[in-house]
Amino acid sequence: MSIHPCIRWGGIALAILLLAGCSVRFQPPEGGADGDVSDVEPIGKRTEESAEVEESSGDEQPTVERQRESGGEVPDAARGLLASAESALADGNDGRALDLIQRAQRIAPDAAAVYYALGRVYREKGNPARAEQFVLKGISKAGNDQELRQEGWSELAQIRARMGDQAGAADARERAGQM
Amino acid sequence: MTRKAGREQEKRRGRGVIGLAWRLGLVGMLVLVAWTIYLDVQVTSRFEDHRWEIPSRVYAQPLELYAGAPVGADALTQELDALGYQPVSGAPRDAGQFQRQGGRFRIRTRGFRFPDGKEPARELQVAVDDGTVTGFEAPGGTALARLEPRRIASIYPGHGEDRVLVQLDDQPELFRETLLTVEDRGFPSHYGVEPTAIARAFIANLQAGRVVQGGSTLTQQLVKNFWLSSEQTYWRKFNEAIMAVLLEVRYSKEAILEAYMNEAYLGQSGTRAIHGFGLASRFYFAKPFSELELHETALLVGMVRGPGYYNPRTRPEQARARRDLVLDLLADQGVITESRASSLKRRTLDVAAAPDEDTHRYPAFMDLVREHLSRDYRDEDLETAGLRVFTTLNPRLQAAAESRASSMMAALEQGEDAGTLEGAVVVTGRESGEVEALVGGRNTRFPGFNRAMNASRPIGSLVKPATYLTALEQPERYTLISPLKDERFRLEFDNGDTWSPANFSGESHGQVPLHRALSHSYNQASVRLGLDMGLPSVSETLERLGMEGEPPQYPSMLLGSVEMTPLEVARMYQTIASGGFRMPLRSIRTVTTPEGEVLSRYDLDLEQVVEPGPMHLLHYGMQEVMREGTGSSVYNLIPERLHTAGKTGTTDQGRDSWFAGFTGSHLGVVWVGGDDYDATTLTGSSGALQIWGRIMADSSTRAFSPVVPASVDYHWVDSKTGGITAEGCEGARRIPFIQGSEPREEVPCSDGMGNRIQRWFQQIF
Repeated sequence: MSIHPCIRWGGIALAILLLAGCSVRFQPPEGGADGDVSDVEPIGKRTEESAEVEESSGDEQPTVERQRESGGEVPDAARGLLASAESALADGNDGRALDLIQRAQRIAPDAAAVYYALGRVYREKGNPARAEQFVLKGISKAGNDQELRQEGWSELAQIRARMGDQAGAADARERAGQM
Repeated sequence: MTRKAGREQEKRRGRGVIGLAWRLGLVGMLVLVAWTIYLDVQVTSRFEDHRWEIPSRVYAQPLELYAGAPVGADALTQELDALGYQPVSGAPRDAGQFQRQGGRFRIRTRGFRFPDGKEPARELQVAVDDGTVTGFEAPGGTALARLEPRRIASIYPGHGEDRVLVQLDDQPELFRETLLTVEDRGFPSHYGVEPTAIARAFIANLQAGRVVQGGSTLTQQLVKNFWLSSEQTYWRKFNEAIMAVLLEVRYSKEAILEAYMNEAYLGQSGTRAIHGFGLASRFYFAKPFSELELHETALLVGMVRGPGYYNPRTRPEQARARRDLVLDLLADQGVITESRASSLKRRTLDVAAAPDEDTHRYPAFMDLVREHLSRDYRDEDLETAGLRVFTTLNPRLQAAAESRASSMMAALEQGEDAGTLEGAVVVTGRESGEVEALVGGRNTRFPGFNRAMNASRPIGSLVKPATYLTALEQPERYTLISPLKDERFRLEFDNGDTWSPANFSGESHGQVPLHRALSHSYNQASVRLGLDMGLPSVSETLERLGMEGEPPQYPSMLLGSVEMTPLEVARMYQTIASGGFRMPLRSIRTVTTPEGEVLSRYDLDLEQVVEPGPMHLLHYGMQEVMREGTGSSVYNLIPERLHTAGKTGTTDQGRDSWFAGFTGSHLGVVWVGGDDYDATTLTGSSGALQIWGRIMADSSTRAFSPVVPASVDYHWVDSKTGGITAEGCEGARRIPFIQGSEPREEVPCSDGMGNRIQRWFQQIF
């Protein structure tokens, strides 16, 4: 099926390449079988200055991008812990809630949700300054996930209002509104 | 003198003798009563004290198992082995057993009381493939479980007594029967002493002319241990008997038996006395008391008579003969059948190869734990209150760090004087600040100079990220592509001194983009940039990142003349690794009482000190260090998909070789150098990085892939002109900019016909 265009274009290609007098290395098609090959950053070309560099074999396809648009999802194991933490917090058991969320944080350290959860515990414990920092951390993990960002900024607006930081609260509200 | 008078006198004398005897008797009685009261006080106070004087136990972090957990099959087996789990070929039936078939495990856990709740004993089914848990099943559909944490140390008092407290409920099968059969058959009925046994011993001792036989009951043996004296005199035996009776009067048989179980002296390890069956089970068999099998129980009970003489590690033949004697005795007394005795006698001693020696296994990490504990606890409480300290140590990572550091240091000093190179390693959780491994020098068992905590050395180029961060925080002035001049220059100071920094290669590189000056660690460009920012600004950034104390305000500071310990470097890089959030490095999670009540918690804490935008740009530069710059040899050691970020550091004549960097899961700081500041041929890349890369290859599975902040956009930039260009153009790089700081100028692809054709073809195919 796909052979025909290959042959057709291949012939033309050969002719033009000969004319152009340069060598072309055909790359495998982008986004092939892996599906999650980096769409953000190509593997950097090694510059001449880095003399001690040896060419890598390049046989490993990158499975995670060098940068990403949003922090990690919460895996099931951590999700269960966060749910248990919610009920511990509802029962007034702050210590247990913190233990459970921190356990979740070690499993999913890039998930905004775990930091929001820590922020909620400290807000409930009457420690808004610490709560603010955890929510800021969560927002830094939200990236371009609109829902997560909005959740973070709304939470921050409440916390700042509670701290008496009206300007900060207004700023957070505005950012939440922009989502 | 008359006869009468004489009789009177005799009578009076007689009465006087009786009176004297009576009075003497009375005094004697009083003395005896007083002495008995004194002994009673001794007995009770010691009995009560000894029940409570327990060293603190220090635990590593537990291994978490869940679908997706970064745990390999060998690592899991290693952990189970370290916890004393028995591999079995069939289905595991008892707690503390596991079955492994390739990558599939069935584990019967023992359960453990963690500070946040009890982890029940249960059967887990775990499938492991390629370093990751791919399947996890537990009763009730639980999504995750923890194994018990490894016990890594005990903090016990100077007199060197150690104990693992056990209770009557912990007794393994037939323990009580074995103990009483061998040591004191009359225990259930006697009152602390057994006159017949004493008489028998007395005759034997008279015949021998010295004390050769004990005839002691368990109660008397317990008293003897309380007195901490083993001299064999009649006076001591006399006191022992009185105190034994007193103990029996005051306490129940069960309480006495439990105290005995925890007191019996069962061996010696250096200066540490092995007291009690709980500790002895760990020491000789590397498993809990409750899991002892009968032939092991028989050996321990048999050893009570002479722990040195019957030491199974040093005198296995004597130990075996003694154990078999005990088993025969059990059969004679009808406790077990003859056939069971003979089958048990065919068993080997089953003694663990190395004692479960937790005293000096992690001296460097324990230095840090004790320093942290000392902020909130007195030594006295730690030594006797039986506290439980839950630390952040990851034993598998620690093992990797120790072995990689030791073997690489040996390899690095090929051709040099062997043993002169030293080093230190700190590994923390990238987003937690938990210290998971700490190596204080080459000899990791030796509690000596802890270089990770105490060796302050110039940090060289590790200081540079602070300079670049200071610049990138001013997007209106600097971006990653801002041109910097890497050219010679000379500074003249007021006192007439001059300074002209050189590059490591000795060459200058002319005008270079900022990101390359960082990734290739160009000194001249970096110092120019730092001077443009101003030393106070760079210092302020260093302090924000977590440097303690004010760095010296000399330009040489910009090339890392400032001295820091590896742990201090880790604290500073932790802020970078976690995306601009400063957090304290922690070695302890929780401290509890022996009953599990939480005394102190050391929770995750953080504070944003750098905006996400500039930090993301710095991360880009530090990833480039590893891809293209001074750290690129690391990808010979670890897969490229494990995107890393870091910075190398080298000081004059290779006196210090540094590397600090992170993967998605861990931050690691490595220092290599000589204690005497001798020159080496090493650079940060050829020394410290080689250790770092190997440790991360062993233990890090998560890629570092920072989230792009909302304030940052990526653009394709033409390397030659610095203008915005199209994706795929030759020399085009995708570079992050804080919004509004991207170049305005747009340039067409600067490449030739051939490349355009290539791109055209790539689009077609």
